Amino acid sequence: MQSGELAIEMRGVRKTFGNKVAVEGIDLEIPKGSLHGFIGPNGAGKSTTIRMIMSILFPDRGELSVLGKRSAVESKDRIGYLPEERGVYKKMKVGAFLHHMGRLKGLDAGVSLRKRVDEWLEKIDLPDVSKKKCEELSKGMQQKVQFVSCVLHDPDLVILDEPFSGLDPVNMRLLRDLINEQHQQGRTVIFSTHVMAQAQQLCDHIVMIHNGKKVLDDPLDVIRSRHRPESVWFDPIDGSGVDRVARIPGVTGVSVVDGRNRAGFDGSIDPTEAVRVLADAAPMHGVELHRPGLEDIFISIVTGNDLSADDKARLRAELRGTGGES
Amino acid sequence: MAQSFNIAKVVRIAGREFASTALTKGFIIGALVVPAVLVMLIPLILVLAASAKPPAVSGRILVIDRSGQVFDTLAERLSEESIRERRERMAERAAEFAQDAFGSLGSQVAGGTEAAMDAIQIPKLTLESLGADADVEVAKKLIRDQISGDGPIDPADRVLAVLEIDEDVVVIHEGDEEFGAWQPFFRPKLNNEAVGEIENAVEWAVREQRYADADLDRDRIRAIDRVTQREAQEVTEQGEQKDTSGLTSMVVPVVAMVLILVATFTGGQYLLTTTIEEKSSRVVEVLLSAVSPMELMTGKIFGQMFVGLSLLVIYNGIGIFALIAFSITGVVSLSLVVYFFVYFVLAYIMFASMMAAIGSAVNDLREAQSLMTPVMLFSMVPYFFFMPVIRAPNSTLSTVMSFIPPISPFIMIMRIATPETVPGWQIALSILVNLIAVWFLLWFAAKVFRVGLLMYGKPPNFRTLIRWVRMA
Repeated sequence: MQSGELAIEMRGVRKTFGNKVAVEGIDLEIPKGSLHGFIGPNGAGKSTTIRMIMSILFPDRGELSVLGKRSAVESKDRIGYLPEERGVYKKMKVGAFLHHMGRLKGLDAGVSLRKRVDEWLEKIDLPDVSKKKCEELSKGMQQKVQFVSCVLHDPDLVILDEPFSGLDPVNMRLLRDLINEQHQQGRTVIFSTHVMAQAQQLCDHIVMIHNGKKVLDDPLDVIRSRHRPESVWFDPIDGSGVDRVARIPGVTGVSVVDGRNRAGFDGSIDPTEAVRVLADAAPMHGVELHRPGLEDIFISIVTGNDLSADDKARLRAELRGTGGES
Repeated sequence: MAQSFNIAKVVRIAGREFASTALTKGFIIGALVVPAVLVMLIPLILVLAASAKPPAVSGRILVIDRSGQVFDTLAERLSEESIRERRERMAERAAEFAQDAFGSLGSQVAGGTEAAMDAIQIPKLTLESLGADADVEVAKKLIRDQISGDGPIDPADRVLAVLEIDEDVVVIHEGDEEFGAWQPFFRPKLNNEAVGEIENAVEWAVREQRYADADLDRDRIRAIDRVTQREAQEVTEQGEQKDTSGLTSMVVPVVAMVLILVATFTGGQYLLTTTIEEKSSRVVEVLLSAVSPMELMTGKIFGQMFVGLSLLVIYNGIGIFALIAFSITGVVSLSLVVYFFVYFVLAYIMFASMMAAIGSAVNDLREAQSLMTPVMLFSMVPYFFFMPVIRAPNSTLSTVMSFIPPISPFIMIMRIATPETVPGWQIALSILVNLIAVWFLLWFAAKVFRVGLLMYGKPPNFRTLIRWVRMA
């Protein structure tokens, strides 16, 4: 790929904190106009990678370019960044805060900036907060205001570190729509999350990071097609159905996941064939091919078969966003 | 790593820093209203202080006058009318003095003094002569019995003092070289005013009798005693004016030093607080997405410098106004004012760098305390040394301390403000030394600031800070 078409390029980037290696030899090419998701559990190295892209931290080794410049410092006004550790000036009024951030991002003061702030506040369903102090807003509202401060100056590159954490479902959807809008307007958008489902809903390209290393970097559809289904959901009419399914040759086992029966099968059966065989084996309410989600793919990539069932469950909980925020 | 440095962003940061600090109710009240109210309250405070004195004393004074010549004069002197008359005369004289010294402002002070005098009540003392041969032990026992006795005593009956006056207190015995003496025995915890009144009255009465015995004219002796000095004048090129050596050699240097110290630490303290606030509210990384750490720190330091400067301009304005009001001129020269601001800026940037570094390194104000201790110690040095420096502005001690940052600006401004001339090369050298220190401390602070801002968790010690400097 021509480097002129790249928003971000990283070559062999490494960062350590004391003895701890936070990021190890990451190569990355993010084309302009794409919507990239950085996924991985808490502490994987996502924020460190993003902070290096933003020139808030500097790599110990490796090369990096952002929007064609050697560092983000030179193109700060063309980047919108929502850090994971984010906040507002508590005593400042919302309108004044956004005005201040807009000015720092190189926008000219005046009527147009004030109008732009008001329009954005309208867009995030907070039309009347301009004169309120930031501390009077709920955490979720503050987060939306922070999102505005990040995109107010129409940046070419939008970087969002865990943008959904702490939002309720309604605001999560609002933010998702706003991110999509940014993408559709041709901006390059990168966001990180430890909740795989969010990445699955939004991104067209996934970068998976684990223990400071990049373990996956592909378009979402390529990942899906590469990881073909290896299990089938089934709902037998009576209890004997489960035993019969377990006895089918090629079925490796039956387990109950999220209150539903799931049968795994080995490579000897084709996925579509498996659905037919199961339906024939016992009377069923329904049989459905299980498409592996990012969560399953991630767990299979990073753990192989080394992890105990308990550890897998813990990792799965974290990847669903129920394992606590950090 | 090459860093861009965008002046417009620095100005923007400084502007917010100044506005969020100086344009708040808290600051305006603290910096302006409180001092103004204090100044206006001075007369009231004088009155309150005076009226807070213990109530008038009343009671008996037993006199054993073995000379037989003192008692009558003493009794007259301690009568209520006599005491009141003396007090009134004293108040009048104080008012006249205030008027002379301070012009129109003085009349207000005089008003306060008179009110204060009114507030003090006149003691009611009953003098009783026990005769020339009375036993002092018996008299003292009266006081002792009253203290140890049960039940309340009528205040007028209380024995406040027993005065024993020697037989030869007025007339010297033949062959002796000195007069006899007198001795008071007081009731415990008798207030100072009453004690002073009694002692002065005895002295007065004894002296009166001695003048009479020696056939001397009392008024004439007093006239001989009094040597009047007219107001001291300084002869200058422009003519003669009030002597201001007390002001120039003491007051101006100390005030200049204290003002710089106050402004430096007001700005510095605000810088520390706002930095910690930005860090703990997590707004700092949002800011770092728009500005570099160096731009942020520079903007903050300059913003608070203008907070300190506005304090100085206001206080200096008040000071100069006061000097004009008291019609004192020539105390403060233009060059002194210029040096004042130069040394303020130097002192401020040094301390502000340290404050910025500390603020960025810690998570809350409490954690800042341990790192602040050495900084605060520096700030106390000028207080310890202001006396020796002002007394001898060109001594070895003063000269050496002028070249030790960060205390050098405080020492230098005191030396420059005194009437003695400080060699020009010393001023130049001290500014140079301070500039080097400013550069070093800014460099150090920038390194700590860059790393510290994003570090949360365990509060650092000095060793950690030095490691960060190496890291950044």
